[in-house]
Amino acid sequence: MADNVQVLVLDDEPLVGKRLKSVLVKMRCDVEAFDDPMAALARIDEKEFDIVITDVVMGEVDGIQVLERVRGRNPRAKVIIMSAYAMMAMARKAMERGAYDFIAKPFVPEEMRVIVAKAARDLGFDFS
Amino acid sequence: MSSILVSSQSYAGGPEIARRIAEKLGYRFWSERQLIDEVAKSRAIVPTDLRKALEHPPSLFGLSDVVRRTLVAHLQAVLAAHLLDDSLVFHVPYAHGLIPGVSHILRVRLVAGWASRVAMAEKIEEIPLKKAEKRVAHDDAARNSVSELLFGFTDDDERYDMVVDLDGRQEDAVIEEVVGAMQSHAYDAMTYSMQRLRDVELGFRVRSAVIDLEPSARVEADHGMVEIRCWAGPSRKAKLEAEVAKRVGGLSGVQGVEVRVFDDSLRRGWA
Amino acid sequence: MAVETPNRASEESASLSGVLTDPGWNGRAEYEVAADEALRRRPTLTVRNRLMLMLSLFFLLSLAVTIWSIHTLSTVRDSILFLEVADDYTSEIQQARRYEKNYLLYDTNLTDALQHASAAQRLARDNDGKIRKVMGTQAVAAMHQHLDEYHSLMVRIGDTKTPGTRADLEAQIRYHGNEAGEFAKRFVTTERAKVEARLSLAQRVLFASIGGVLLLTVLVANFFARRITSTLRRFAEHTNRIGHGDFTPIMPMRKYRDEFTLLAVAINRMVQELDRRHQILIESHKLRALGTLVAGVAHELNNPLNNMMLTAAILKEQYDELSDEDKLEMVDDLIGQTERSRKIVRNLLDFARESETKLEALDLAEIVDETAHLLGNQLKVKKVKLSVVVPQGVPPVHGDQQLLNEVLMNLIINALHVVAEGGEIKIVVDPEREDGFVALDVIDNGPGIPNHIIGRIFDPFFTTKPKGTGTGLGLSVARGIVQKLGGSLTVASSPGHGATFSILLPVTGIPSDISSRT
Repeated sequence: MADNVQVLVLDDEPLVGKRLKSVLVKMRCDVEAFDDPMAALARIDEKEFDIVITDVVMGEVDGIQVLERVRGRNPRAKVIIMSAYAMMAMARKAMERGAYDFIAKPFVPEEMRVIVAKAARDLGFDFS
Repeated sequence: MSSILVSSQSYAGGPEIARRIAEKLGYRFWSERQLIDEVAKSRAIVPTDLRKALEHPPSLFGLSDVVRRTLVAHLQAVLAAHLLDDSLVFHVPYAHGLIPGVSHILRVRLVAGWASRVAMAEKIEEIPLKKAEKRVAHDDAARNSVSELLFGFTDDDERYDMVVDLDGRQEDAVIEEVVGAMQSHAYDAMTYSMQRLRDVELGFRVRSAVIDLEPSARVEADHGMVEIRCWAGPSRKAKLEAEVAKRVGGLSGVQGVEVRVFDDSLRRGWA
Repeated sequence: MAVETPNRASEESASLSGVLTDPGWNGRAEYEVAADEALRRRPTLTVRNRLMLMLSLFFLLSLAVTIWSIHTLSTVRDSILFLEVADDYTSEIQQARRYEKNYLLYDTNLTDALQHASAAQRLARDNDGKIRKVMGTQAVAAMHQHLDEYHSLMVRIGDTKTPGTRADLEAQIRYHGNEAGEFAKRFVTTERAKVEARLSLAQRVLFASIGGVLLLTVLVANFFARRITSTLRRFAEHTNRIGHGDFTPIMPMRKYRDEFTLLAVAINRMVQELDRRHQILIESHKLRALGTLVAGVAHELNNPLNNMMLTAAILKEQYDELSDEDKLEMVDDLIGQTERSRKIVRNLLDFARESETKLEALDLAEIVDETAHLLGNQLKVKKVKLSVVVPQGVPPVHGDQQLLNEVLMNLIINALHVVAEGGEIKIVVDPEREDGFVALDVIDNGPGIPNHIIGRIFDPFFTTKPKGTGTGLGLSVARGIVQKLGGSLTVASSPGHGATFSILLPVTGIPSDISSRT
């Protein structure tokens, strides 16, 4: 296992990936950010990520599909879902399909940091 | 951190099933009576009044609507506080109305066959068949009218997350069904739902704190920001705003308060 | 501002222009008042009075016929009695003449002849007045003279023995006797003819009165049919129209006021009230559509808000480490996202904006784009594919931008509700379907509309959604708007194959007064 947590961030809003990357790289994460779901899926097929953070509503591909793709490849991977369209049904569906956590937009970086740190600890990384 | 609220029809054996679900999941169990006793103790209310508020249909000589709403507001505040604390199974009526949708709280309604309910009523109350039938029918009607009054929809509304029919089924199978739903992870707690529950709890706590000032108060909380809307005469407006803001400002978890008092000349605040 | 509707133009144009200039109900209320006044201004002639009038006429006619008949019968009776007198007189004369002959031939019975002649004289004297009436004064005077002569000649011949004188007297007696006899004959004939004429007249009058009664009956029946059933039918048609959401008041159709006037006034009042409530409901429906939109937009806003929240928080956290360039970039991002939020809110406000109806030439493609954009997020959440087909060179249509947005919004939201997740909605603009119109189809691949409800889906308050979730006004409002703009909204669907809502909107023409001036 690599020293750093391998993180992929996917959101069709480019700013989300950009900002989250700048936050997460400061906590021993290797972050790859995508705003194109197809490119992200291709990358997921290529590389095993520890944590995948994805948006739900992105046009033709939705976050639940990404979640299933990631979990299919690596059941240990923690998938964190974020959504501007957070609703009870969507949250339950995400959790049922094996999401690690679900967060409603808008959120502050600290909230994501807490979730990622917790996920990393659950994966056995030494996070304080 | 997930919890279950179980509402059951009268004489359906609901409390026992709820208790066994709790046992199986390792959650703490609360009966309606325990909850009522706790609310009565913490707010210095007579437990009988709380029971009436939940069970007696509205009538001329019964509780006034304002008193009933006040009592239920206290009950909701206590219930939400417990849900925030721990994984629990509550056996309470109107699970669909007492707590709004929070994805990690499963609100189940247990229904049973008419004949078996009547038979159980006969046995428990030691009353003849005719009387037992009347009792069961009366209970259903009362539930619906109280639910309608408090929440604006009837007790058999689709707002429950899950409806389980006990008729002709083994108790164990029913318990397994509910436990299985919980184990599907769909009702797992998450950042989003925990935030939602914190907001719900804060909203109820605030409402419970101000409801004696103005029974029409409605409260929304979002990330600690509290908005209170009430309806009152123009002469009371300034004083009410100040009083409410003062009370709410001191509550824990409150980041900001906004009080809006609307002219109640038309009494539109009542719903 | 005049808006022509293709159907019922004359009847409704007044109310339409009122509605279009004022989307509220003030214009309509004035129209209602006008209808009310028009209904009441007419002179009163109630159905009851008409009926009374007809029945009185009936009675008078019968009375007249009866009185006349009684009179005729009594005169006939008198005539028959008189005819007996005439017969008596005639037979007296004839007896007298028979005895006269006997006397002249055999010299017997002179006393008898004299007796009968006196009897005839008596009868004629007693009934002198009546006979005069029948035969005329001159004839009667002549008759008296002949009788008197006859009588006195008979007396004289009895005393005369001279053969020469006797023969002369004989001739005179025959002449006068003959004249009296002729008179009697004429008298009887005339009197008999008179009785007959009277009886036949009575017969004819009775026949005529039967005819009259028949005619009156037909008239009354006709009156009932026309006045009552046709009025009721009119009211039924009117209430039917109300059922379909047309709140035009009843206008007077006859010259007089009657019981139906009160009913019409009452119905108009009811319609006015219904219309007012309908308007309120339409407003509330708009609010509900707005609610759907707000829910979508509120969520949509979460994206820029999230971008701002993350950017601002990181800017604050890493303020000391960031280069000026990075800081500037982040501030620019903040401004950009704020701008984006403002746009989202403005779109929403555009929809909610209360403004006067403004009829202008509009580009349908633009309206479709705008509405599709506004609903973009709802479509995205349900993963519904919206495709738009607008051919080149679609002529501008005549309408109000906001109203058309609302119509299209209603149709798309409707389609969105029925299609399954991942479904498809197609919008096709076709300028060639009908001359002078542009067609716009909203096609969904949902379950379609069952045959038994397709006829009712444009009715106000008709909804297939569960109680409390739909107002049932969306389609009715949409159709109302399109019709007011001079177009039409129709639906075609077969269960299992989705539904197609088609709007026809009139193409903007060049106003004739402008073109003739230049």
